[in-house]
Amino acid sequence: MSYTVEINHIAKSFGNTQAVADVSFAVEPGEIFGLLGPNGAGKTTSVRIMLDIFKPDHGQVSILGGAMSEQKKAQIGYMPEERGLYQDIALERCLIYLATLKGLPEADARQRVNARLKQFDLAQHRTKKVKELSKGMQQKAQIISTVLHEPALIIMDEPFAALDPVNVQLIKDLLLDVRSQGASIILSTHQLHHAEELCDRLVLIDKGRVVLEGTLDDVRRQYAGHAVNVRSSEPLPAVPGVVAVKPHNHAQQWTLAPGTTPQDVLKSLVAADVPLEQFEVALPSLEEVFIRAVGGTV
Amino acid sequence: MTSRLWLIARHEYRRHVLSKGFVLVILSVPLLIAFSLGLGLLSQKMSYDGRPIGYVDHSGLLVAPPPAAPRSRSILAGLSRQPVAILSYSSEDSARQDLQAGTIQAFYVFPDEYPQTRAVRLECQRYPGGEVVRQFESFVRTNLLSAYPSEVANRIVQGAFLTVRTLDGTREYSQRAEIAQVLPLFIALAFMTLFMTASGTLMQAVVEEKDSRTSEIMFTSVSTRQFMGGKVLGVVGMVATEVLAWAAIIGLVMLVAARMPGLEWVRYMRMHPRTVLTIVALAVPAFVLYCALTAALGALVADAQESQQASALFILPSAAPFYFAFFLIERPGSLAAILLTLFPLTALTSLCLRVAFATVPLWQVVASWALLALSALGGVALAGRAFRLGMLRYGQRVSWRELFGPRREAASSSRPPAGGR
Repeated sequence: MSYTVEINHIAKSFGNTQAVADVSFAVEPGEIFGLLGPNGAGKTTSVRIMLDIFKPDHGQVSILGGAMSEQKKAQIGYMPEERGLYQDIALERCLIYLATLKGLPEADARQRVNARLKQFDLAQHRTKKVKELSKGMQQKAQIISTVLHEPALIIMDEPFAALDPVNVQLIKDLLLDVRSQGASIILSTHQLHHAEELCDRLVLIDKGRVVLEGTLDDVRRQYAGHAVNVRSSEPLPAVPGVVAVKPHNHAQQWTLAPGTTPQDVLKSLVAADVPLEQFEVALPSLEEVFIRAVGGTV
Repeated sequence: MTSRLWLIARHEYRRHVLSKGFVLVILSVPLLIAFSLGLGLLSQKMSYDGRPIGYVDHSGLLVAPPPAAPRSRSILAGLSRQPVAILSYSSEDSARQDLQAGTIQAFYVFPDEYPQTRAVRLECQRYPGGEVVRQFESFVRTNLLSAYPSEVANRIVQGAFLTVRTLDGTREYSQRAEIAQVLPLFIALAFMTLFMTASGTLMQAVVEEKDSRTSEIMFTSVSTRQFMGGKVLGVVGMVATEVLAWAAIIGLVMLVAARMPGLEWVRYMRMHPRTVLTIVALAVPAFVLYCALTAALGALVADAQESQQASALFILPSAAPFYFAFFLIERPGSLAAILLTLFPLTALTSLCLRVAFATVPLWQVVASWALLALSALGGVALAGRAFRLGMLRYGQRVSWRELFGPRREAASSSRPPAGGR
């Protein structure tokens, strides 16, 4: 399979500090890939190595089918954690300039910028200097700049920071839309609920090493306990094979005895004619997986 | 790929030129000239005594004075000088009476023996201004030469105009415009000023890039060479615009000044095209070199304040030839002068100083240009490397060892970069 990005055993140290010890992952075309990890896990360094900002001490990086080149820069949209726009020029001019550096003709860039500014409710601020915009507005502008040239690979470092819920949704819709058009998106974040909602696959990094990798379901199942979540409008009866009961999000989480399957429990409940509102195999949230995987270092 | 370099250059150029600050800088030159001229003319006007001047001629050499010339309606002529009336008196007493009454400002007495002694006596309450004396002397000369045809008399009054030319014709010294001799020196000073302002602008632009955290965005869009090259070209373009605008303004001022009485020497302010070409040819790579070095410095230092202090590192060498100006003027062909002309950081100012007083051999000009051009290219490459090394060092500086050491990446240093890990 041809991957958009393929990282093999990269490592990077700064003096005595090992930022990345051993990280490998691959991003497929047309997927949203989560690069997750606590603060200082090595996410940003991995991204910078990927983009050839840093050279790795060890390991290989293949991006868009090979080594990074000047030509490939036009096919990449990068929103760094350290946000950066030219503060002293008008918003529209700033975005057009950055888009032309990505290879868009100026007229085309202007047209796209104006359409996106309208979409992101920034049209009335187009002639304002960037520094006159609020932090959230600047972040939206930065996101526009990242996707404007329709790159094949988008890398976003903490894209939801500083955004209100309405704008978070706007960005999520944008990312889903861009993915549907075939772009690969790497989402580097520690805001796991957003990742859970958006990512097709993910890698979890801690202390510079990969802790978990796979689809969202795979990862959750990997950390799933032997339990079911049950909710009813009436009091729940005692069911054989349940060894522990605890409340869980307006329901109950039943821990099952070894040898008892969720089907056994469901049969018992149906036999007891319990009006069920919810019955599911208990899978941990990404946040729970995260906490368990990195040992509560969030 | 090259187009990105031009995009950056254009952006940088527009950012600087389409600003209020730039318009103010452009206007500062004519305003400064107007202010200086105005101040000079005002002080001249205030000290100028327009009352007539008298004379008593016992020698009989002077004929009746010409009628007082009407006051010029030209504002410029009026600002510069106005003729004073010259009155003839038959006796010293009557002249003295008018002097005491304040009707005249002074009177000269030409004794009988004036043809032999050429000595006159001046009576005044306050010595007349130099311009009044000059007008009276001109009147006396014209009278003494009255026997000659007017063209001959005028030419004799004008005196000798000595012009000395070098054998190759590239340099000349004219008594009519002595200041033209040191014109290259003024050009060198002008370049120094430009270097200082432009390098400051560029360094600020690079430091701002770090401050506004745009480095990563730029690095994932263009190469560091394109980025630094574009920035340097943009600022060079800005300075070229400044130079052209100032040249146009100064040219216009000179055109007007040349028509003003007393400022005729402006017409003779000229430089040989080869000298101009030589200076311009060296100025371009010299300027690129300075810009590249200051841009590199901007990428290396921690913040804007430090960049201001550090810029002196490159400005001082370019000013060094001025410290040796007397030596260069006295011995323009010496080995030290040649070495200063060949060394890229001192080449332009040394050459300007030397061409003012000597003919610089062509091989030295060519060698100097070649070294400068190579250094300029190297400077741009170094600036690119410095930017790559320093781009993520927000608030930190990059050491010289890292810059000139073996080729490793920015964050391969012992210090982690800014941002997350």
